[in-house]
Amino acid sequence: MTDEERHDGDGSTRLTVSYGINGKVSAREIDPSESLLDDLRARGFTGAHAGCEHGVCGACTVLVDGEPVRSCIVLSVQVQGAAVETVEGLGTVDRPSDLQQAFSQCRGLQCGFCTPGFLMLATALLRRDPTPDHEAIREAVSSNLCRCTGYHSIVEAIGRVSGTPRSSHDRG
Amino acid sequence: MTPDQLATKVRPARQGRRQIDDDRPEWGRREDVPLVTGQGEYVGDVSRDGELFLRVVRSPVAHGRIVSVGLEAARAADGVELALCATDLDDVPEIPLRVHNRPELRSYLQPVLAGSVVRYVGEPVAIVVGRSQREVEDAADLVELDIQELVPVVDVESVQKDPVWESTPDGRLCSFVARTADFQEAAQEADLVVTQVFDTARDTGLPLETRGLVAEWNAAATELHLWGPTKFVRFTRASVAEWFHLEPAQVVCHHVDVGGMFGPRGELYPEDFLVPLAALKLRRPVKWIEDRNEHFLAINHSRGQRHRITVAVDADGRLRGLKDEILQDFGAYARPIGGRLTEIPVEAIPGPYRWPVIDVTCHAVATNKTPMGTMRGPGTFDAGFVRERMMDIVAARLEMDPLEFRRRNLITAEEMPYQQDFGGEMHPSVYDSGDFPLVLDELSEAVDVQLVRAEIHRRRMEGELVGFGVGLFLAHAGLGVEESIKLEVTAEGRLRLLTAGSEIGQGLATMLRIVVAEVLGVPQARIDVVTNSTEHFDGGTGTFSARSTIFSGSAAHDAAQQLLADLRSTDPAADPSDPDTWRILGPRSVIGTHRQSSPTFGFGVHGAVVRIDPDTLAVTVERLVVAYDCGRAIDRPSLVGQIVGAAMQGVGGTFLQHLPFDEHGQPQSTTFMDYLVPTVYEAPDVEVVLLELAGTDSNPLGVKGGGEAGIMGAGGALANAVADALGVPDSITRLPIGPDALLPFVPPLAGQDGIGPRSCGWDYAKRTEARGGTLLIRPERHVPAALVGASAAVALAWWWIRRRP
Ligand code: FES
Ligand code: FES
Repeated sequence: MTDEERHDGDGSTRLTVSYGINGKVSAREIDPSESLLDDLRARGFTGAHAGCEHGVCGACTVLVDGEPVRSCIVLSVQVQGAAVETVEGLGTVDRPSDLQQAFSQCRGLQCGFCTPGFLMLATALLRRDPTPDHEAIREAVSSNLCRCTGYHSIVEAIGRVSGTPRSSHDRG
Repeated sequence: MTPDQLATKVRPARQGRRQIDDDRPEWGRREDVPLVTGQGEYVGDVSRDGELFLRVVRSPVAHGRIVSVGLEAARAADGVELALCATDLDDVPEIPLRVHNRPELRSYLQPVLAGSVVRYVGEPVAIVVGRSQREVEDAADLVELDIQELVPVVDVESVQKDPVWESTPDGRLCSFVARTADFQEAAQEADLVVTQVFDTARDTGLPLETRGLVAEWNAAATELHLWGPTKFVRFTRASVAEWFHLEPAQVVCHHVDVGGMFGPRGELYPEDFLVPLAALKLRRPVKWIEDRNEHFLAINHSRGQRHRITVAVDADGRLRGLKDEILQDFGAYARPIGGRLTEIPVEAIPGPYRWPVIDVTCHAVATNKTPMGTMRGPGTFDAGFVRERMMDIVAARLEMDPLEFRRRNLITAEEMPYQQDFGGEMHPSVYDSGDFPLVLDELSEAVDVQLVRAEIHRRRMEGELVGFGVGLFLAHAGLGVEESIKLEVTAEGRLRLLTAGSEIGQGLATMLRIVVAEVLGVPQARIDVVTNSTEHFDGGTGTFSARSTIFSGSAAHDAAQQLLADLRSTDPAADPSDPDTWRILGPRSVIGTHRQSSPTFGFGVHGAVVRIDPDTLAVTVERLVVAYDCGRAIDRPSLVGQIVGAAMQGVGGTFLQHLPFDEHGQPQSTTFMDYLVPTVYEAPDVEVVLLELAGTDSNPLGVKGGGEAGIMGAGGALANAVADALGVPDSITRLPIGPDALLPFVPPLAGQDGIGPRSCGWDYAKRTEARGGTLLIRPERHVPAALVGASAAVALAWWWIRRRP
């Protein structure tokens, strides 16, 4: 459990949860039922988006101790002491990462609402396997929904960073 | 509060955002930079000091009389500042029409809160406003609704026992009739007459970002600031202004990033009144973000057509006449799009063919379901599916190659401009330019039809179920008559374009920069674009009907030419590429405009190859090729992105997406577990053949629509390929195509009746033997175990099977 717990007069419980966000420790008093997504957004990290809040679309994907999770169906209290990574930690407007630029170059985004989720999936994949084959990239991004791009430009963007050649798999 | 004061109140996390010049090759589009770094500002990211949250209480029943709405418990709940229903308002405004082609629809407008009758599940009945999202959600559950239920109307052909509208017992809210001559006569003279019934299921555009709105009044309540409007920013603003007795200029729409539009997002909805109302009553900023569940209930649905179509044809394949009786499931209320939704299928059903006689009617039928609006390719996707399926069915009866049959009836380049008449009651369509046979040839070549057919034949001999099909379409685009845009030269010599049109991810800003840079000869890096905002300029009709390049692009072209003329008259020798030139000319501004009274028509063809797994009935789209004549491409990568993305929504609409209702009018698809969107595993690598045929003189850029073309022929081509794979021409008559539609036509499992070809070549031998076995759906679809929510695939399959009738 957490270090601090406070019971308010009206019976509700508030507690302080702290964890690392992109390498910096962050503490905030929360309602224990708050999702990691709501908590992150309240802490100013609005890159993770709420596309469904029931664990299907993946727009809320962040990394917890290096693994992609859907932050809308993880409670914030569950990540006490963990290392959380969000899209804001991948690179900045002035110093973007290769992956962020590759998404733009390959037109791996249109509206950009799903993009932070896909970037986090790709980050976890490339750490685990810096040279994934085409099928491994598809497998990695198969969990998330994009309504704009049709996915191939997303797969291509990740492949550009890892040097993965395009495959003819898609044709059957 | 002035906009400047408001602007200073953005939260600290956003202050790092700044403009980047997009001529740096490491970026595809300048707009991407904030979006890939988590610095985008969507409406959900807008946070105002002292903001309150709003929750809409929605009707749980499809049809009923409201006896009472009990708000006491909600009002007494923790953190609640306001709870109200229709009886608390002096005046309950209605959602107005934007399109007035059927004025009678004014009798069927939706009140912003239901007063005496509820007509669909999800209809707003009350609002609760309070200090946190979770508190208002909890409090909304305490609202007691006493509703006396009536019999809901769920089918367009059923008797309206308790009519949706008492004033209109047959439920027909409006109609369109296109009759050029007596179809019966044409049919009597024809060698063959074929009739078929087709259905397209309800669907919706489904942007990945749900709707949302933030409203904030200044202290004197003379100025309303909104974050969230998109698409028809000007219409939304004018409507909101009228509701609150303001001038449009007193309503300021601020830029937000938009997570997809696809038709329904940005239309006017009850929340556009309710959120500003709450903000006015409480004099605090109020924020409303729709959740996905209410999105499925409340955002405009689309599709939902039944066609009873008859085609008369001669033995040599010459079309003689078309008759189609269309019923458009209209939902419970008329939405701003008005009768247009009922008109489009009539205009779209003839397609690119020569019909000596047409006799087409479309009736809008009220049902106790979510009101209908547009989604990408509204009416055209449906009509394309119906017409192109019909072309294959007729070709099969004539024992004619389906491509050859189409070629014989395609309107030729020599016949352009071609006028499609609709009789005395509707305006004709004028296909302004194009070379349809050429585009069909290009598609055939890209697909390599001969090779594909040979290959299909070989694979069928080996027992595979594979098929090829095409879908032709006309893409009407560019409605909305006029558009204006402001082009400024700043004191620093930068150029700035201002429009209330919306950047929704389609690349509006990039396209505008390219147009202006080309005319003026300045690098794109020195041109800024502000979209989706009325803060600095409030011209512009909006972003819809694939009109942005045609209208906003042409208006920008006009503005740039005016500016160039200004420059030339001031200093004929000035070098436009020199920043000092503009610094000297500035500050100044011009307004560019574009007017055009009739749409342009792009033409395209989809070609699809599909494989059906006879064991699981999973359909794999092996190839999806789109050939499209766009007139001219301004920003090729964006245009290709639009076509590919639209084609994918076509794949979804053909195989997965569906918003079914049960007999009580209860929506059955209200989460992403029920409503299936294509994932990467359902996504073919769409091949795009972009043709730039000169010809349209409707606009100075020579462009046609681009945003919707990719979806328009997809349903027809994919369905034809499936029917071909089954070897049964009239097998597929409704969308989406689920396993249940395939089951009756798939031959018995190999091994049960020995091994042999299940389907052979182009002989359309009818196969009707059903087969037994367990139904599995989309076995390739799964969620990696590393992710929470891994059980989704199982549940998904289970739900899909259970919800099928
Ligand atoms: S918002 Fe978390 S999965 Fe959709
Ligand atoms: S870019 Fe819009 S949802 Fe993926």
